[in-house]
Amino acid sequence: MISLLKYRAALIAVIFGLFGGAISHLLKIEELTFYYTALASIIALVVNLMVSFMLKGRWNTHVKYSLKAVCLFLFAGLILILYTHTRYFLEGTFPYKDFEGQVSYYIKGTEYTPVAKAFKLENPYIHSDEDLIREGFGSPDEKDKVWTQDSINKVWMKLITSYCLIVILFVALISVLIEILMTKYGKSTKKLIEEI
Amino acid sequence: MTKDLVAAFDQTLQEITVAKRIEPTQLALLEGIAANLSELLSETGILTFRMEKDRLLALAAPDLEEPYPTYLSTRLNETDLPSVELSLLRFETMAPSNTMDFAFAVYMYSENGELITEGPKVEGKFTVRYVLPALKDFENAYHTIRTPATYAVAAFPPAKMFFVVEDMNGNRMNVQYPTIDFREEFAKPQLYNEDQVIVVPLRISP
Repeated sequence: MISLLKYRAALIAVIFGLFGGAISHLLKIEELTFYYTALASIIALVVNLMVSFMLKGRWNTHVKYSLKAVCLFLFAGLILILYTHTRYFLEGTFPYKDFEGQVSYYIKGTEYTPVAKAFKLENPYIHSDEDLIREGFGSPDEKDKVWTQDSINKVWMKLITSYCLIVILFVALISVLIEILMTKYGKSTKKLIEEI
Repeated sequence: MTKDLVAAFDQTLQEITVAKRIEPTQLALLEGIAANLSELLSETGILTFRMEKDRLLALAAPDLEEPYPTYLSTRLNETDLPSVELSLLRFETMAPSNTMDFAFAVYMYSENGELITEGPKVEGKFTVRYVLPALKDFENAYHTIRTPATYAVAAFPPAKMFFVVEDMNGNRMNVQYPTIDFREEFAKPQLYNEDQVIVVPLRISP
């Protein structure tokens, strides 16, 4: 039992470590660093075990074609959610440079507070949210004075949800492919790897 | 190196799949490979915990060691430095630089136009208060630096702040440039005090 969990956890660690930690970088928002790393690992482990369990059973032509359809569906879903997440990221965050010029991203809201609206009216040269923070509100710590807390929470939920969906679809697709290729087509897969 | 690790991982996985059981040695091997791959391929993999980040920052920039907890000095050891580029660590450990200390000095123009930068007329005679520029109309939003200028020291983010200078009776003085951009002050510092803190002059007229 423990061995099974450890083996799965090691597999997840490799999936997350590959491609320079690509999955972790999809939501590189300063405030959420620890939250999403933990969240992604938990989701990935559960999805991986669920896929492994669901693939148990008799292997026949019907199952084979169904799994091909599932893989195509997962792939299409993954592309769609990657696009959606990128859009949410662009719309829902603002960059902020520190003293050394390093940029961090922070979640913003969608509805300005009356103070922020008044400040923007007084300073028509301000166009970006980064400038609005820097010119009038100091640092991202003061963002609740710029946007209403409710609108910040809504953006936060959208980003976390889209990120979770990416992790679910990505891990599910990879898990299904690994399980099928290694257990049902082990010989041909091994031969292909050796040729490479 | 990475290719070898992935090949070894793959080989072990295949053996497990064929045998349909996992031996403790195989499990240990997989864990070891996974840990090594994480370190090799993910810049952030070894920087998960704050203590580790602080320790690496201290190794990367010894002159920044002082503000960190005392465990740094006792645990600091060059042999602990992992085999990664220090430039990468600097990128990951940027959080402590979100604010920086600045020292404020009050310079006063005399009646004949002479700028007084030190002495009993300006030192210890004025209190510096600041506020976010968007909130300057809200008196309750102002912060007061406890020690009077010269030097009143406080930490600020790389952004603009609005300043007022008051004498000891609470009378507000006329500040020549009340809005200070701290990113510019950091980029082009004119003066440092004896503690090597950037000095920001606030020019007032009587």
